[in-house]
Amino acid sequence: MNPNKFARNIFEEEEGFSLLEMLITLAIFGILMVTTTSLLVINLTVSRKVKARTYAREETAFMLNVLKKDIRNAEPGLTVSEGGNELRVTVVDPAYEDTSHNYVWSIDGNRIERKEDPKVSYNTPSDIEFSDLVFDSLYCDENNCVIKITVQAWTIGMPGDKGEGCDSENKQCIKKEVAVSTRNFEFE
Amino acid sequence: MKIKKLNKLIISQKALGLVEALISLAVVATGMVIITSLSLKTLKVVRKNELQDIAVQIGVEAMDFMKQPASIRTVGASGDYQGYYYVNLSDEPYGIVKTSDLNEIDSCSPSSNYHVSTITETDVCQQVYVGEDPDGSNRKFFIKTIIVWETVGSDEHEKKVTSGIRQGKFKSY
Repeated sequence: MNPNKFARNIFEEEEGFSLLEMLITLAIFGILMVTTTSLLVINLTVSRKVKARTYAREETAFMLNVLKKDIRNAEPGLTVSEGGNELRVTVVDPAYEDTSHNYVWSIDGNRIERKEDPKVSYNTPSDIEFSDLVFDSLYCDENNCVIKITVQAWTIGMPGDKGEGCDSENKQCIKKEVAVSTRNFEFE
Repeated sequence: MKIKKLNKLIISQKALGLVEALISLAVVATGMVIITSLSLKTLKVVRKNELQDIAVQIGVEAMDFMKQPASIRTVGASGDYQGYYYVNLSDEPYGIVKTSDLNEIDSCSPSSNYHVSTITETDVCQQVYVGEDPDGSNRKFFIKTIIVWETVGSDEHEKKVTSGIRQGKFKSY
């Protein structure tokens, strides 16, 4: 085909879209746009959910680390009531050996706190709801105790999803169970 | 002459036909398919990263438990501590329970003794290995934690193994 003729065909002799052509084009384009947009929305939602869960998991892990440290450094005589929501622990101050701290770990409203009467020395952040803090004594002997800690946290303002071992499918949640021992009270 | 040409371009030029429109749509559609597949890949990577993060945390906690300064209670070991164990924190007798397995786990299902959690349709299993006691003093052991996670309905699984040394005793229950 003569290139000049082809160019003339395209630029001069072709006719515009008919209404039907426009509708078909728009319909195909519309379907593609809806699919892509919905995928992007799903992507964004999942990212937000994962971010919220990761944040809750990190804060829970941080709280558990502080709690574990207290249990590991506890003085002899640590008692844990089965399924209790409170743990009283006496810890020797590493800086001043003749000073000890009496910490009470409990859940106050939606936040877990470590209280050394009357002041609160540690608090979980307000943007995570903690609904459970349970202490169980797994086994204790004269030398040490192993304590199971169960904690459940909910992220706020996030769409529902089946959480990590949680009962509800309507909220984002994480549940953790960890076992931690005291040190050996009597070294062998 | 120039004005005449310009007039021709603006006034007389005709639009594209259906074939050209469909070709351009195909180009746009290909672009969109690429974007969509990228988006899906991103989702998969985000999910994979989250599961890896959880597995690492479980592995670290298991290693922390195995390195505790207190003696660890073993169930079913009868003095021979070398072998594969699962951690039992849910019912008596608590402690690590020795199994007859001779190898590391490579899969995970809810019915497995090693199963510890199901996280958004992904099963997570945790296995603990206690190695030999080199000097027979019951004080120093080579230990390993093996975390395997597997998504329900998928044959794909991932594994994370962490090794360490335990300086402390085991006790038989």
